Amino acid sequence: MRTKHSLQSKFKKTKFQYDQYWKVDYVESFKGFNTSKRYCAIIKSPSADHASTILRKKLKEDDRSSIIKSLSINMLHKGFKLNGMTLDINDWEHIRNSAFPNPVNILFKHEHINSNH
Amino acid sequence: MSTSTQIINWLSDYQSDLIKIIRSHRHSSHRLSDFEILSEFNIRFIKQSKKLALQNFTDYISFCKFSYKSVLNVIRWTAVNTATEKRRNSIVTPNYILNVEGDSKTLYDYACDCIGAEDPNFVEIFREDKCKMLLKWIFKYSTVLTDRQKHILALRLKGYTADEIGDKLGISHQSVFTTLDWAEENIRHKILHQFNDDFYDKKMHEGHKSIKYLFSEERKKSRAKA
Repeated sequence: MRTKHSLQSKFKKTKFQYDQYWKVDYVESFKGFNTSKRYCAIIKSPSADHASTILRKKLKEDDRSSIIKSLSINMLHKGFKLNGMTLDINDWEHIRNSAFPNPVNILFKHEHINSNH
Repeated sequence: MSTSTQIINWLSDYQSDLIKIIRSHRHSSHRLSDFEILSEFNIRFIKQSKKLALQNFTDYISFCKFSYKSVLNVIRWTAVNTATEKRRNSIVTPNYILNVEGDSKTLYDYACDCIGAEDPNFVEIFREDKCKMLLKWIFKYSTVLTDRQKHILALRLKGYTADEIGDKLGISHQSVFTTLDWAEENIRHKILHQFNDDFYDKKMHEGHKSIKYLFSEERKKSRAKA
């Protein structure tokens, strides 16, 4: 039987001509500290690889001692379910506002409080 | 060989014909009158009489042919100036009302008061990190500019002239300017149309609010209501 490939695996391999919005989940820890926090951010870039590069670069810029673990990337599309709900126009506007890179050069990230990390 | 005095003599003889030429070729909406165009032509001709003496006018007829062409040029040049002036005047700047230190002033009055003095806000902007942030965004993360544009803009910001950049990259100074124009256009199109004092505060506030909304219960609640 033919194996079924997910949409996201296709997206991750593709380099788009235009910027796409990527939802990035990652765990950030710091050198010399045992604590780590799980964050979620939106990155705007043409490919998944480029998105992760941007994120790493930005986090290094903000704090040199930061280490990223367990990075997972998903592309936001019309059928994407964020917290179990598909995206509507209002959501897309919020995605656009919170995406990085932006002119104010701030990575807007949301901390997952109920994380086990 | 014609001398400058001889040329001026020929010019004075040719005045009556010149006015006829001007009348036949001058457009009705031309800014200058017939005599004004004539005097304009005479001034230009007399100023350059020494140069013109080097042109070998063999006789009066060759001089007439030359001045006929010249007067047509003068009519055209002065008409072009009129057109640009009209175009310039047609762009009407609205007289904005500004709130300066509690008083409301028109933009014109404010400009008159500030003339010669340096705007303190303009001086301040380079001291703050805001400008650095913007440059960082442009150079490091954004895809607003191409690599080529980023490279040329970076050299320009370092203080290199267009000629120096051209020599360095092996291109002409015109193409340097063209690239910079395109870069400016891209940046302007992307952000500068919404760039003002509240820009940073507004963007930061929006960003924090949006990321909170997307990953919190608020979104679920608002969806449930809808």
